[in-house]
Amino acid sequence: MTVPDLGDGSHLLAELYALGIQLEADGERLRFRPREAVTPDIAARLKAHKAELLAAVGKRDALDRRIAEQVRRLVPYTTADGRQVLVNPRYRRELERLGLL
Amino acid sequence: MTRVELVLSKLPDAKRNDKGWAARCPAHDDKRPSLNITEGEGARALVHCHAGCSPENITAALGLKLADLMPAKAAGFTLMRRPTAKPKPAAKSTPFFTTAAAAVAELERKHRPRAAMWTYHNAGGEPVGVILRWNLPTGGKEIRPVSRNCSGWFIGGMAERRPLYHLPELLARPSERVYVAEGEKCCDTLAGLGLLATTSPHGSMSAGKADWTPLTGREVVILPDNDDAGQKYADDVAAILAKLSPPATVRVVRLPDAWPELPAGGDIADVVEAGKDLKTISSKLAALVDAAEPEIPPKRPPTVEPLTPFPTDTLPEPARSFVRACASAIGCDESFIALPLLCALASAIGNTRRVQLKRGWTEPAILWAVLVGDSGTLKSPALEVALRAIRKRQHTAIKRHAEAMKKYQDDLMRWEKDEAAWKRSKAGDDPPVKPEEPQADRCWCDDVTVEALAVLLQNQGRGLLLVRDELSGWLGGFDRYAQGKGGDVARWLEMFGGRSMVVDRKSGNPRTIYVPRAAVSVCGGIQPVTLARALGTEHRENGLAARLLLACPRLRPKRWTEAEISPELERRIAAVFDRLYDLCPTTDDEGEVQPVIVPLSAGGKSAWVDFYNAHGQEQAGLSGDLSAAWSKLEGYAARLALVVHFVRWAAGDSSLANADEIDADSIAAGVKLSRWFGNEARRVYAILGESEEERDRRRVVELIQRKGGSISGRELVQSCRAYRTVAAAEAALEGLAEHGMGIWKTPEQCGRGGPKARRFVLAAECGVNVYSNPLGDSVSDNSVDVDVVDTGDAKDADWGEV
Repeated sequence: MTVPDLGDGSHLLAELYALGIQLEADGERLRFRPREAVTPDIAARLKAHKAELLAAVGKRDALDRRIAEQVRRLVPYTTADGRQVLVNPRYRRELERLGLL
Repeated sequence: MTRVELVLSKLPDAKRNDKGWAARCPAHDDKRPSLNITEGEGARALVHCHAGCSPENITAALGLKLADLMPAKAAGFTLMRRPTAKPKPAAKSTPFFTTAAAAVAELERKHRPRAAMWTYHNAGGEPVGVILRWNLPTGGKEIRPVSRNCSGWFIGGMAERRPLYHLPELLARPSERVYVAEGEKCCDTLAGLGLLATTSPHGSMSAGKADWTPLTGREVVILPDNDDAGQKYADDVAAILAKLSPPATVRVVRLPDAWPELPAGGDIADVVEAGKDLKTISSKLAALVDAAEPEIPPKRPPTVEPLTPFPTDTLPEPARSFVRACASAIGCDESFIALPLLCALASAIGNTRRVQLKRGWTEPAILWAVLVGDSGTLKSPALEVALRAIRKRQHTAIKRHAEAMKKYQDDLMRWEKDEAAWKRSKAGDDPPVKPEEPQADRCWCDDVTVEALAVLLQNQGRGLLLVRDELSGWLGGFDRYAQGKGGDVARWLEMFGGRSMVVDRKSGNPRTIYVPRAAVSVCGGIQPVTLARALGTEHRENGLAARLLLACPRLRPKRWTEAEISPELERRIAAVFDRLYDLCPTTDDEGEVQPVIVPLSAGGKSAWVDFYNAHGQEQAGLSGDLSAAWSKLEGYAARLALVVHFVRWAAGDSSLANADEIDADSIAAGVKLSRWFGNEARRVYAILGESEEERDRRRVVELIQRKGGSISGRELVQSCRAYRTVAAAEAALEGLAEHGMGIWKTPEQCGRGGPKARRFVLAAECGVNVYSNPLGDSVSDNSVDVDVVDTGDAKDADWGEV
């Protein structure tokens, strides 16, 4: 697997993700799961790159928050072909013009 | 003596202002004070000439050296530290505060209590930035911003596209005149006068970094500070407001015109401080504003061209009377009758005639016309009545064909008997002739698949008229069976020119259908929204859109009318069709059927050349869709002239001197019709119009739709030449996200197959996934389970900690 090392922990996060390891930040604490997937070697790397990983997880969570914010703004709408979707009501008219709704 | 005092001692005309002092610059012939003198870090004297004189020249003109501006040892006010003095600390060490108050308290702890504080809000009314001001003991000021980002509050400026001061008020009072001043203090002063005022954050040099769109199309008055920097700020803001769509109407008001005593660098706050009487100030300011001319003439949003009535007069009789009678009987616009009628007449001429404009350039009688109108604009009744003659003709032809088939079946049975008898007799005479299967005479169809059309066209050398009440099925039905290879559109474009067409079939006999001249006129109705969608990028780029003659009259209220179409008129129009259908093509030396080439008369040629040159001039001034439409309208003028000519001939027009030549009258009619269609194209394109930004967004959305609803930045680079880098592509996708057209999905949300680049998913596509999860469960304070993240049920015991 080739993930460009941007020096910000995102590559390591991606590598861990590929191994099925999830990370979570809780203040200055960095938690991972499942425990059994974290070998001593990986644990050492986690420890060594804790600060970058905390930053990368923070960045990821910020993106999640942004998505959550976007999703909160959406309202249910029925598409032209009868599907139920959520869209931003501000852009309903433009989406209709584009044929999305 | 301080360094500033030293400089001021050399400038007897220096006057105090809010920033320090202003004086006429000694280094150039200064009419108005353009030299600013302020106290800088460590009590150094700072001199700045707005005309551009260098500090060296200024000090030399004052009889000083540069070193004289510097104190022996920098000391004093620590707040004056400039960011250039030291490299900025790394972003990660930026301290964040949970509240703005905490960040402000930190600044005040480090320095001293502030003199003033102003808060900036986002459109939702939430505070996003705070500007703090300290008054310096030397008379200057120091400004520090505190801002908010996703991590909290920090000491520093707001991110770009900064909100305007008083943004919630600007949005809440959309029809009010807006005053733009330099600095929050002035805005508050204006607000005290009962005026709606705003400014951009972070100083007069940062106007371009603010989001001025809330002032789109509004009436704006700029009140610049009384110095060059103020004027520059006013110029910057006016330039930004002029670029909005629609632009703001901007007036720039010079305060010294009403308050000549205002010192250099003075502003409205100084006026109010000095004046005290707010009523007088308000009325003087109002008079000043009324007297000021708008800086930029108010540009109106692109207006739709005025509707011009269809030039029914241009049509020869009986078409003219027929159009008028039908339109008044139905209560629709005359264009809704004229367009389908012209198409039907063109298809009746079909491949029998072509107009020759010069050697090598002929135009066929093929028209593609679209009636654009919302539901209820009587498109379908108009089509029905305009095409009644051709439908009746087809009805009779089919009936005749049925009878002929009956006779053919009898003949065939008789022939089978005769042939069997002939075989038995073993006589030497010729075998009986097998009867030929009669072919149905078709003049119109509504089948839009190319293969079905090819079969019909093979038997209809004249060509066909394709009629659809709703043309969206035609425009949206290309390549239904071609896996998007674009073959159908290409064949239709060939058919517009009446060129040859080859269709290879997978089944049927014959497998290969060859149509030497596939001539199909098209007419039907469509709703504006559907047309806008159907004429997507693809059809604009391949020229299909430009080939459509459009008519989009205004919706008129229905009124009962006793008007009817007289049977006599219907008979006359049917007679014209009959005569046109009697036209026959010719055969060339090799026996091939060919259209009769109809040249222009000398007068016709002259009229054509005049039109061609004028039209070319017009086209040179156009671009994009209109330019494409104009290029087709050139040929259309000739095609319409050809139709007009043969209708005149079929109706026995006595003014037609020579039926074998197209005269100046027919050309003039064709040109007039073509010009009307040009005007209509402008109108319809404006109706369907979209800004460049909207078009770019639409193109990307269309591309994503073709890609299945989602795309990564890299894929966009690979698919669209407009985006050369992943960063540019991601910026475009960010733009879509900002417009609520979709969201980004992080790698975790793309599935479990390993990390992938984040993908942008169109709203309608991702919406399905979002909606299929109960929203309440999927949204938490810091995450949303858009797709497959399954952390919700995780037990704490599963987690380890570094």
